[in-house]
Amino acid sequence: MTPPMHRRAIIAAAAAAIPASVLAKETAVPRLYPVLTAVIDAWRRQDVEGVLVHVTDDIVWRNSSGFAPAIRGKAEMRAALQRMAAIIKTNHWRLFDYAENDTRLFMEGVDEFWLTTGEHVAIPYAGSLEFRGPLIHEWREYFDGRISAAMKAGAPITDELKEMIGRPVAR
Amino acid sequence: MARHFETLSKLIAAWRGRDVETVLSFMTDDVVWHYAVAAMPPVRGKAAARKLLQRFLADMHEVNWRIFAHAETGERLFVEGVDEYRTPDGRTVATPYAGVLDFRDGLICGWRDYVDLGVAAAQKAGEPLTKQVVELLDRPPA
Repeated sequence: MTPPMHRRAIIAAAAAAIPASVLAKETAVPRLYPVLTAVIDAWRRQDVEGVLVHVTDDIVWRNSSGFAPAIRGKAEMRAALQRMAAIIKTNHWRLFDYAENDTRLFMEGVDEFWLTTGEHVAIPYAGSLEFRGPLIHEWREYFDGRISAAMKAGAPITDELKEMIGRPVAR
Repeated sequence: MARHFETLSKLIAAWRGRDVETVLSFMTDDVVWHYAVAAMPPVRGKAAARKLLQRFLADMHEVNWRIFAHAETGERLFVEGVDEYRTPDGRTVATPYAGVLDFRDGLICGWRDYVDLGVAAAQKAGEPLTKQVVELLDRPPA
């Protein structure tokens, strides 16, 4: 049997070998991130109502970095999602990392999808969600809309972009 | 604890003071800076970052760069803010953005700003700030 002091020394040594960033992530219990993962799971199934169940009736969705007006309210968001679902064959939306702060969740990821017409689109983005209780009431996403438009029109995904979106997925 | 945000705040103060060398002092020598993710290639290394900052210095006046919200996890800082300034011909440019900064030993080694350069281009061409941009800017600084 390992003596108690020896066991503590082993644990201490193991902890010292773990980067601080990993410890910080593992010791903080995410409260908001599970909501977002549920939204992502629903959207991967193209389950519009499964997404909407996680937002407030007065949701404000700013999904364009400021080049288009905000989408306001659950009904308007439902219509927008239904329009998107109709032209997306499959999607692989995923996050590379996130951070939480009180009622706000920050994220970095990629909205990757294939259109029913065959085009492959991958939009790296960062954004933030504001929560009221367990529901999202403001959603802001930032990216370059011109890149998105070019890929929807058939522009290829560059090697640089492949590198950007080839990062490990957040857990 | 917002230790990385404190570093960024010092960097922002230096940039407002047009002090390029102090801005650079917060970056590692091998910094990789995506100042417009996917829209522009990244700047790699401090020497290239210096050149970019000097170019920005000529184009940006009355800098009012500010951060609305932030959070950090481990060695990564997430921010949401606006890059606001006046062009040499007096036009206001205000581009809302989200940024992600990676740190090593207290210095920025990776920096990714997500922004729509089309919004900035329209403003530089003389178009007024749109309602949705104004709404994004209408928040108190962090």
